[in-house]
Formats: sequence, structure tokens, C-alpha cells
Amino acid sequence: MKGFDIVITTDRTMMSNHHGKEFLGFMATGPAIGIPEKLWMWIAAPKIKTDSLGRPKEASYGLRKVEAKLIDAGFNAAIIDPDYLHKHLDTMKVLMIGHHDFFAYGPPSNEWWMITGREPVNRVYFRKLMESPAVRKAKEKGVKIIVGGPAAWQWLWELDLWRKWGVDTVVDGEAEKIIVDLVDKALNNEPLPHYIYVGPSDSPSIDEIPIIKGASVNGLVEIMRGCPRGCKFCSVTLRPLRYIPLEIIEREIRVNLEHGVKAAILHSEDVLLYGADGIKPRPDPLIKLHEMVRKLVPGPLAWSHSSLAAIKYAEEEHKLVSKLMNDIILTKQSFMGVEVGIETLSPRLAKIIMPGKSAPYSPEVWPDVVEDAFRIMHENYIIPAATIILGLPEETPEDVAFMAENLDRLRPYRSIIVPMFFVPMGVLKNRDWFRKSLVQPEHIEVMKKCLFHTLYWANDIMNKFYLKEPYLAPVRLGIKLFIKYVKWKVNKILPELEARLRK
Amino acid sequence: MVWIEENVFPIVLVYGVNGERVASEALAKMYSNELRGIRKFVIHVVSPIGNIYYLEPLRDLIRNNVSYTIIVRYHGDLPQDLEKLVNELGNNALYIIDQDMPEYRSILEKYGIEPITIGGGGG
Repeated sequence: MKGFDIVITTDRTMMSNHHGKEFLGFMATGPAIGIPEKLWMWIAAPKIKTDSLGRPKEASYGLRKVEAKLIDAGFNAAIIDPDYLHKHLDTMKVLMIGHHDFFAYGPPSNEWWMITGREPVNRVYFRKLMESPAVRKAKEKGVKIIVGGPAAWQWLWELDLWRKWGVDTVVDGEAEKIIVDLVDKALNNEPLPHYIYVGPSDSPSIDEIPIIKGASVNGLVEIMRGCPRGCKFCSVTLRPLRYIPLEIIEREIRVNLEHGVKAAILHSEDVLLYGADGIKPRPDPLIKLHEMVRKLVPGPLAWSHSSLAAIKYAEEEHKLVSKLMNDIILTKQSFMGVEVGIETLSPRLAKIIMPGKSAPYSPEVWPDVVEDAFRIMHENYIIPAATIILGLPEETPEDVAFMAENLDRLRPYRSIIVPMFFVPMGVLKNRDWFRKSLVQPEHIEVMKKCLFHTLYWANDIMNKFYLKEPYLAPVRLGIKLFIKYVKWKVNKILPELEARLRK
Repeated sequence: MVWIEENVFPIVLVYGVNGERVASEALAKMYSNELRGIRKFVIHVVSPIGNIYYLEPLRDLIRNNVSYTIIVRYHGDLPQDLEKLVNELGNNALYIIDQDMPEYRSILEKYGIEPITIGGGGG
């Protein structure tokens, strides 16, 4: 077989299955810390297996959707590992590049970047991709470059690179309804728009969302799009709420299984809202979904995201979390991971920035919702990676002090808590300003508590649950070394940092 | 399937140094009662700022919008480029122009188009 007309790719940090442990992929959002970059990259984003044409065994779900849409439309398209792009130079007419965080402006990359003063590896490797001989040669030959994904907006802050690298179009938003025509125009050498923001009215219906053709990273499959919480600042909530039917989810899981991926990650903004009554989880659709997935998938099953309010409501009203975990999920695994958002523990701030997040509970009781959800997860062997956000525009020192105090309530529960900073875009070009002005002394207390909480539980998680497979022993060793290094480094720099901030 | 640029409302922006104010006016118009019900916009730009840097003043317009589909096209930096665009779109577009661009403004006047003019000083 000769090459492909339409080549879809991403950089090395994303063209990986992260040893089957997607959480390790987060390391690709930081610079190498305490260990050589090569070793860091090997832990965070090892090369994925490919066929002789460079088609990866697993690829990011977003790229898989684009690939499927184009194949369904009759195009000769494929996802290609970045190391194999040169093999398609004779046939390539359109190069499509996706990424979660092209320039490391998203969280937590920007935070790592500002704290360490060094470029995160995702930015470094994306630049390496764009400046690689294969991509430069493709551009010289007149190949059209279309980029997209959740970080599409970042290109608006990198106009020099946009121009230098010759990107033709940036696509921001759900692409299913536009991508076929856009590629068609590119192939016909028609003038392309520079930027497309796909608004809610152009969101695809269920019928317009294709079924993936190859395996997604660690078996990720989408179970719904949109979110019913109705937060006014959020674009996701404006998009139509679409529950992916069970038979489509099953077909995608079967695609993964046929390609050798024995795991599944159920992806949604809030997994427990699959088939929900508004923002109230319902047992029936969730039990059917999990029973179907568990029956098919022999390996680990995970949730991408869940809201803490939905966890509390589902358990307290229906005993649903324990039912899903004990009767279904834990029959073939010992724990399950999920990302959750605490964001703040101050009810005052919660009311301002995320009034819908605690629903059906009032923002006034948000700290209780968080603690109850953490307890429910702990009791049911769900290990959350939780985020909090510091430096929000209306945050007061009292909010932060309240957060620091209330973080102690979460100490008994197995979890990882990652503090992130709300960073205005204008600040990204001035990292000294960040260090001098954005980080306040009261933030240090919260960051310290999060770090010590995470280090404490990271040891427990590593000892009892994570990376237990014998073939992952070297990765386990690497992570343990990293944890030791962080402990040593923190003890060394904290007094100095605190003294500097208190001046 | 219908291409995304069909059935859209065209907005033509002509700007130099006052790009952000021109873009801000465009965003206000998009959310105004006058254009209620329209869900898709094509922003056509003629600007001596040049390709691709003309996008810098449009950052807020793009990032502050969550409701509408927005497509951005650049047509060039010269008054002739604007004339070509006017020939294509005629009066079926909303024109917003930076007041400090008389050469471009005269093109619009020549075709009987009354643009919204955004001032350099007081606005």
C-alpha cells in the first residue's frame, strides 16, 4: 500500500498510551524534573507500537473521530505516528494535527512552566514536530496544514509560529460537521478560512458522530457530550446534551478489543450524569452501561471525570456508587481512577464562580459535598485526581485561608490533589510577574497542604494499587525516585520561598 | 451536508491601529437585538496589519464568544482588496471600519455603503 492523502498526527507526548496508565501522561505537561528529559519522556510518553506505515496501535480519541469521519466520507486518510510522516510525503496533500495543549498554555502545563521557569515537554515536542524535516518538507510541497482540538485557541497567541510554520486553518470546537468539507476544499486548493470556531448550532447530532476505526488510547470511549449544569460562562453547557446510545458505545469498545486494547475509559464531562434526570443521576442507565462495559472488557475500567455532587447524590439517594463499584467494576479490578474538580472550598467563591457545580446541593454546603464525595470514593476504592484553582479573579485571602483549613478534612481520604493557578493569558508572556505578584503567601499554605497530602497518598497508592504489573517495574522505580526527589527538593526550597513571599 | 459558510451573516472589518475597538464593536453587534436569531458569522478582514497578525485584535472577539459559529477570513491589506470584497458581498454585509482609514472608507462610499465607523480618539 502506498501512503495516505490525508495524514492525521500529533506530537510524541500525545502519540503514546503512557504505559496503559493515562495518569502518567500528566507528566508530559511539565518539564523534566530531577531526571534526564529522555527518562522523563520514557515514563510519561513512551513510543507507541505502529505498523510499517506508521499507523499507531492506539491513538487519541479526538484524532480517531476525525480519521473515522474522513474514512466514512471516502478519503484516503489515516493517523500516522510523528516518526513516520516522511513515509507519506509523496502522497500527503493535507496534514491534520491535533493536540490538547499545543503551546503549554493550558493547566497544569502553564503552572509547571511558570514555577520552574522551564518549557514543559509537551511544548518542546510540539515544536520539534512542527520543525521536523518531514513537516517542513510537506509544507514546501504545498501540503495544507489544518490544526485543531481543545487547545486550538492557543494559536491566537502564537501568531509568529502560525506564520512561520504555515498553518492554513485552525479549527476550534466539535469538528464532525465541518471537517469533510474543509478537507475537500483543501484538496481542491480553494482558499481556506484561517479560523473556524464551531458554535453550538453546528454541533453534530448522534448520527453525525462516526464510530472510531482504530483503537483509542487505553480504550477511551465517549458516553455523552455536553453538560446539563448550565453554568453561564461555559461553552460545553450551551451545546446540545447527547447521550451516546449503548449500542454505539459497545461497537466502539469492540473496535478497541479487536485491536488488542483490553481496557475502557468512559469519557464524559460527568460520567454519573449518563442518562440522568437533569443533574440527578439515575440508576437504570448507569447500571446498564456499566454491566455492558464490564461484560465486554477484561481489563481495567475507569471514568474520565465525575462531579463530586453527582457522586454524593448517587450514593446517598440510590446507593449507586457502591452498587456500581462492588457489584460491577471491582469484579475485575482492585480500584478505579477518576478526575474530579474541587476548584475551591470557599462557599462564597463557589457561589460566584461555579454556582451550578454543587447542584442539587446549595453552594453554601460545598465543602460538605466535597468531603462526603471523597469519603464515598475512599470507601469504594475510587481514587480521585482532584484539582483546585488558586488566584481566581474574585478570590480573597479569607477564601484561601478557609480552603487551607478545610483541606484537612480531606486528609483521611485516598486521593491526589493538584493545585492550579488561574492565569490570565496576558500574564503568560511574563513569568516573573507570576512569581512576584500572582502567588501570594496564603497560596503557599494551600500548595503545601496539597503537596503533603498527595505525597502521603501517592506512597499508599503506589504500594497498594498502582503500577503493580511486573512489566511496569522500571516505571514504578522511576516514579518512586521522582517522589523522593520532590520531597527532598520541597524541604530544601520551601523555607526560602516562604521567606521571599513574606518580604 | 451544508458547508459551514453557507447561510451565514457576513461582517466586514477594516482596521489598522484601532483593531481591538473595531472587533469589540463587531462582538457587540453579534450579540445585539438587531442580529438576534443569527447563529453563524463570517468575519471578513481587510487590514494593513497584514497576514496573520491581523488576528491579534480579534482574540477577544473569538475568545469571548461561546454562542456563535465564527469563521475568519483575511482578504488582504490594500484598498483594492476591500473593493474586491465589496464587489463580492455588496450591501449584504455589516461593515465596520476604523476611522483612521480614509482611503478604505472612500471605497465604501463609492459603492454607497454606510459603515459603522469606530473613532481613534473618543470613539
